[in-house]
Amino acid sequence: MAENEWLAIGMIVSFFLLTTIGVPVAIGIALSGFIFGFLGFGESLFNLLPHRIYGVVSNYTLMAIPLFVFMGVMLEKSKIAEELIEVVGYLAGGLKGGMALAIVVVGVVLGASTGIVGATVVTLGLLTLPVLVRRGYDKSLATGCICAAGTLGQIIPPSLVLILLADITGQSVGTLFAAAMVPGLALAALYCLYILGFAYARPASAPPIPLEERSSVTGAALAKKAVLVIGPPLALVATVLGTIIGGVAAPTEAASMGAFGSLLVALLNRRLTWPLLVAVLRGTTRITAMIFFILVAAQIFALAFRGLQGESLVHAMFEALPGGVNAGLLFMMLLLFILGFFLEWIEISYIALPLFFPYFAAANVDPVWLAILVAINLQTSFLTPPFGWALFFLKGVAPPDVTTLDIYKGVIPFILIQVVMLAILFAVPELSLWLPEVIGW
Amino acid sequence: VVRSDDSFKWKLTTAFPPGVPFYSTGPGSLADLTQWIKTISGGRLDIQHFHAGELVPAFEGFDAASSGTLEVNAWVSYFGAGKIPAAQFFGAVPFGMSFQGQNAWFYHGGGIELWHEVYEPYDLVAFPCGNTGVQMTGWFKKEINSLEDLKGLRLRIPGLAGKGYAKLGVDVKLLPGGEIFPALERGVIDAAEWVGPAQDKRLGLNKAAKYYYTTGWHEPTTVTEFAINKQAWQALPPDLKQTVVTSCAAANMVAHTWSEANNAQAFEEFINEGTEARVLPDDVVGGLKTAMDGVYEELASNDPTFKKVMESYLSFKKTHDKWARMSEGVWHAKLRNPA
Amino acid sequence: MLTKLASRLEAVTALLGQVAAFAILALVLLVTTNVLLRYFFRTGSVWSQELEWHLMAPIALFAIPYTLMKGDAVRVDVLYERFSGRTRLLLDIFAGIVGMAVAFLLLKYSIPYVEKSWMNGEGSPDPGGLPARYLLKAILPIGFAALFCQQLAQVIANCARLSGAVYPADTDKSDP
Ligand code: NA
Ligand code: NA
Repeated sequence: MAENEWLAIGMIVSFFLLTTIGVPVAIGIALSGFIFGFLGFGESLFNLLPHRIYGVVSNYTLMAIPLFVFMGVMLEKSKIAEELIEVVGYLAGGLKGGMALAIVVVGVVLGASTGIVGATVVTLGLLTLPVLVRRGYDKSLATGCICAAGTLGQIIPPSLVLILLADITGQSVGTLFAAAMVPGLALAALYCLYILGFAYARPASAPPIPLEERSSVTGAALAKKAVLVIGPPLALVATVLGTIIGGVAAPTEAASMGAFGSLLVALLNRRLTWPLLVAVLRGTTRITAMIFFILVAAQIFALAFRGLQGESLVHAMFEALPGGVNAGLLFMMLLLFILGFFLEWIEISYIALPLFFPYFAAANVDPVWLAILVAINLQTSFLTPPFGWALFFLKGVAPPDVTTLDIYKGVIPFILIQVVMLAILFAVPELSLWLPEVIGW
Repeated sequence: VVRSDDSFKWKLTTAFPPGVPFYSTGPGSLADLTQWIKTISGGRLDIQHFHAGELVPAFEGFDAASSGTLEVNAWVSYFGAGKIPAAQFFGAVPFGMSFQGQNAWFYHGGGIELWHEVYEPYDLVAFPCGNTGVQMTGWFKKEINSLEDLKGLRLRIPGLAGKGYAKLGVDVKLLPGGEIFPALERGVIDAAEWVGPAQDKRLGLNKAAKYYYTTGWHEPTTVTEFAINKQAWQALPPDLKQTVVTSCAAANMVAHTWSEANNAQAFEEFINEGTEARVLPDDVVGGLKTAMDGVYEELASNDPTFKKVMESYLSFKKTHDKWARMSEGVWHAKLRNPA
Repeated sequence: MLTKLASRLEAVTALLGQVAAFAILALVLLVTTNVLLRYFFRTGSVWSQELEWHLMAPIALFAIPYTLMKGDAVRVDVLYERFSGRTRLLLDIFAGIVGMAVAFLLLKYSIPYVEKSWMNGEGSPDPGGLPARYLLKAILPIGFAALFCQQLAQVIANCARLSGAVYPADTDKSDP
């Protein structure tokens, strides 16, 4: 191996070490990028950093982050979120795991309005995590569920991953959007099945609201409360999705409808005060910054990985590709999964996919099916410890008693579900090919 | 000629994502061009090709090449119109000339020399290296029958032409490529401009709107720019310079003909799948022309460089128009498919 | 003396945080207005669409030092929470110094970047767009300078804590 490739490996290892001992993630990424970059190629390429960072902080699509976070913080600080998830608990009655199911549903709906994982995970975390923990949910179940549901937006259209994959595979954006629909919803269904199974096996860790507490609320009172409490946030989420479907707003803009709507909801609930608004803005500022600090620092790492010819490492692995289409597919999935441990999905897409796609195109593998397999795999990379974005983002908004370890433990079952979904789609390609054909996209 | 044995490793960044035929892969693309240069030079000029976002975001490559951190940037000149308004004439000129005229101006009307002059302060030397040919007016959900139909029309269009549309009451919307399909399909916008059939098909725009207006008054021909950092350029021995110049000219030809062939193919598929091709009515074209004349006048009065390049371009066009009308014009009108 | 410097620096951070916070409110109202104007009145302008993402730069970059001041940096705490208070302080001082170096390098690289934009008189490439794009780009070095100062303040504070001082800013980690 060339010296630079060793340096690339050293950079990855140093990043793991720094973050493991507790250096803030952004600092750890930046430091390992700078050190190994300087060792490998000196300063020259780092002159490109401001170009990349400007690209991040002026990215139109990333605008959805502060907008969705604003909505989440507003619902949280005006106590609307808390009541929402409680009422869901009441409505679920004796159903164990009922509140966790609600997270998946909200994740699907938020996912259908944005493809930005940071925005979704943070919003879900703010809305639901404190209540779930207080209600005695297992912290790992709660956090795993939020992370997984929060990444659904990557596979449920519209989604940045699918847009980029459309470019790389030469398929139309519409075709991939349609193709991802059924697998995305199937994934959500699998999450729900797991939650129900978990709750059945360990009822104490996913408890329904106690019977005496439930019976203290009459059916009529609950119905009224449900309308008053669930109504507005539900209307809000419906507004976000509705403005996209109804042709009022483009996907990124729709986030603003949610943010503005949350202002209105707080106003109508007579909870909107100046101190509340200031607190919401400050909270949004902090959470937005936390996400952007990591995104900005990751530019240093990614640029160094490029400069050290990290892609030739990937090429070298590609050379080891076994013969036969199925073995090749399996190998690619494994490789993408491993890259997901330390590279951002954009880098993976750029470095690895252009290598693979021509090979599989020549072997007559359906590119649409292949793209959806890859999309699910990339979605999984948001969840894989230690370097899964979803994990970091949730940690940033989680209550102090929820530890990184809780989150790591929590996502493992969901990663296994992702693998199961991949296996199903592998066996039944029609899951992705059927819808585009039916609606003619 | 003494061949020097010096060899050069360059980095090229582009405004185009990986996988896009014409720009990034396939005949006449930048992948092709860099490969030719490497082959012809016997490996002495090895240009590593990076796509948008790999080293720098799509529209940041120009500055990176200008400052010498990278050696080459490829994009369309009008992306730089915010810094250099005159760059519009090297990219695409609303109501300008088509492929023949634009290239005649470049190679024989002083166009390339002017290009080098305009880029002098940016330490760049640029050559045309590709051409989409004529683009399309775009995809419209409703027919355009009069100037009245443009009022309040929500149209996705970037660049100079947007200003002309805006003067006629169009609500100009800027959207990144990936959001065009969902926005047009759902009716957030009423119409959208992208490139031409071969590229539009990749966005699936024919599934989102029925009427395909032709042709691209706003981009009668669109040039891909290959801009080299001046120090890097001057360091090349003459044979490698010639290799670059000749390969760019060849790519210009091969990419353009790729577009012609594939646009024809994609266009036929659109029509078979129910797309209705339409031509903008004369009064709409007339209105747009008047509006654009105003836009050009404003720009020229504010910017002497813009004025200088515009005058060169228009004076060449004036002479070329007469010839084009009597040659290609007559041929298209009467002889291509004689009755 | 040094702790006084630290609190002065943090006052600047707080001010930038305030700017970012109100830029978020502006962003919410601006995007909503643009959507509604287009939908109901079929009108809009290129500059107001550009202003949307122009607001992103101050939101993202001014907020980073602010969020550090509030102790919000994301870290993997599997080992960290088992460390003694002293070890944690040492680690935080190390991270702070590294952070200062990172901020310094980012500042150094971004100054020529902004200079170039300024010398070119860069504006929007879209007619009707916002002029003076170099002002937008200038937010990069300002943000990195503030990031440097904030981490300097934190290193000072942590050194003071290490030497046994009870530092006044140890109080407020919650929302103001
Ligand atoms: Na999505
Ligand atoms: Na175009």
